[in-house]
Amino acid sequence: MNLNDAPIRKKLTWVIMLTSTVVLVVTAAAFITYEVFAFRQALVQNSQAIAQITAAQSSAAVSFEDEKGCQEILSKLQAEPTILLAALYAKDGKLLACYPASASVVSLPARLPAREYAIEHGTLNISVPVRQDNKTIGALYLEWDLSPAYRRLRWYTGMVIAVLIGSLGIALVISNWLQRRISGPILELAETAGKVSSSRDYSVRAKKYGDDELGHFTDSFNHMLGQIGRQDEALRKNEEQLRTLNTELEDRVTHRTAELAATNQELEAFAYSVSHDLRAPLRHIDGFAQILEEEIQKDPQAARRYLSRIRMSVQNMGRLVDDLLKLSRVGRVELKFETVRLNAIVDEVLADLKPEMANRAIEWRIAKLPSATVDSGLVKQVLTNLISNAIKYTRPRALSVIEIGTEPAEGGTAIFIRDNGVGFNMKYANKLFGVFQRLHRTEDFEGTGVGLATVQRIIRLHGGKIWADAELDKGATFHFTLKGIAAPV
Amino acid sequence: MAILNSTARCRFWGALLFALGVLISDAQGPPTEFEIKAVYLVKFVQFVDWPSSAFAAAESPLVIGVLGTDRFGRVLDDVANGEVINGHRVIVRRYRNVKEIEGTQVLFIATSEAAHLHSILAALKGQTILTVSDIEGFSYNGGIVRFLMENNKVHFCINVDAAKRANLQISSKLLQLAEIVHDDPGK
Repeated sequence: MNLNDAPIRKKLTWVIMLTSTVVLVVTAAAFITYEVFAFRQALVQNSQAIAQITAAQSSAAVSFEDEKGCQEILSKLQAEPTILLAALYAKDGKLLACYPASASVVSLPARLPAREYAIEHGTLNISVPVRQDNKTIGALYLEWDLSPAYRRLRWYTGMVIAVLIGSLGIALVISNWLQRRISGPILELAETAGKVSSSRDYSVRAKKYGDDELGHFTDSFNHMLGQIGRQDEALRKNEEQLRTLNTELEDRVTHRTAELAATNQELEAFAYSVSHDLRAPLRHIDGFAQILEEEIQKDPQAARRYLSRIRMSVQNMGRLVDDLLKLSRVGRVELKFETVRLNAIVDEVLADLKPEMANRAIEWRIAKLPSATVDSGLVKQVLTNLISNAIKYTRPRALSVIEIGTEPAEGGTAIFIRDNGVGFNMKYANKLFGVFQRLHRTEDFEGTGVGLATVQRIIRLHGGKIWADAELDKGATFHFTLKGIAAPV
Repeated sequence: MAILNSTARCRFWGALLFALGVLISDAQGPPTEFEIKAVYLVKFVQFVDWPSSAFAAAESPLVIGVLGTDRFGRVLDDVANGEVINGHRVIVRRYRNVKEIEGTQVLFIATSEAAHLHSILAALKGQTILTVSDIEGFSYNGGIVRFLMENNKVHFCINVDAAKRANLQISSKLLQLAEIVHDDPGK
């Protein structure tokens, strides 16, 4: 297992356990080693002491080679049950006695070790000289059974190992408890960091457990999280702003492009219409002038008629040019905003249009209109156009009904002008506001075809919209909105 | 079982045999009764303590006296020769009369003196002398150590009362081997 990749909890446990194990094992080994040596030394000393005492006691018996006496002395060794074998020898090597008495006599001399003692095959063999007055008069040989001693050592070792295992068990429990005190906060910190990085939630805070290095670390971490959170929020806000700005910009570009395209198209149609519509009176003028040239001598009466025709065409053309000038001025003149009551403007318009209402039966239904912050001159132009149209296209009716009012519309209040005139086919509704676009013959209803185009331009300049709905022979309604219209009254 | 270093073992036994050979250099065949008794007599000395008053001086010899017909011959002299016990050289003297006895620590009373044993013991009364004899009933009659032969082996009886009277300290180790007797209460 790679220690570097191991969880910190395991690492800490390993460190504690390894240290404890080494300390305990070394201590135990030292104890056992010491015990083995000390025990062995004590055993040898004890055995030698017994051997020496026995040898001293048996000196007379050996001296007189008294086998019975020797036997008696050796028989006292039965008090020490670990003695397996004992033998007394006279000076000439003759066996005087052995213990136990039943031991094989023949084998005994061969057992006498040369050294003072020897530990071999589970027995401790000791030989001591029997002395009298500093003279060696014989020898004593003793053989001790070491198995009880070994048993004791084994038991001791087993006990030490049991204590060692028990201590390690306790160490494991303690280390488990201790390492949790250290690894717990670290793990929690790591978990918090992981949570933050995966969920991008910077409001999470790590719990602080103490005022140690980990505690300081936790504080720093939390502080850092706060900073990141604030920065992140600022960044996100900026991004949002940027996105809104972008969207707005895009919208504006789209809008502008559409506007530009519309203007372009309008301009093209306008150029075509202008040339076409201006061409018509010119052709009349040319035609009548030619006839006039030929006929002026023959029929002066007819010539006057032709002249009046020519004048009519010229006037017609003059009107056309005037209207065009008005239309183009709308685009060029700067708007002068002021707050006015729309009803006042309507009243002005009606006064101006008095001549056109001569010999007409018209029922006016004019509601209370709101005030508006607009260029009053231009708005008057709009109302003049729409109201005069209503008067014009209700001419075939015995009683004209013209209604002016307000209605709720998308983005505020719309003004509408409704009539019970000839109306128009909704099929051509899209052509209504084009320059020189006329839905009726000039013979039926006079007009240049520039009026509604001018109206639309003014409405657009005021940030409003104009639309119409109608039914053929049942009347038409024009609706428009202006950004400057105050809240509905 | 242990097979020990054979050369070391040989050396040990060789040393023992050499020492024995010096002791009984001219012994040939099985030892005779008096050869054994001579050895015993000298060995006895090692297990007995005399008060210092028993010696004239610290370096005085320890005298083994033989009273009566000497049946040891040269054997006793050979055994005693060179023996030093507690700083006292062991020498052998022979007496014909109890009156000659002086400065003697051990006295072997030969069987020839059996007839007037009582007078001898009476004469020795109060002296720190270890009396040894093979006269029958010796220890019962006030003697201290009596040798007796049994199955060609020497045994001995010790009269501890007599030893006490003689102011002698006999080693318990020796007493363990001996047949202990007391003064005959009937006499």
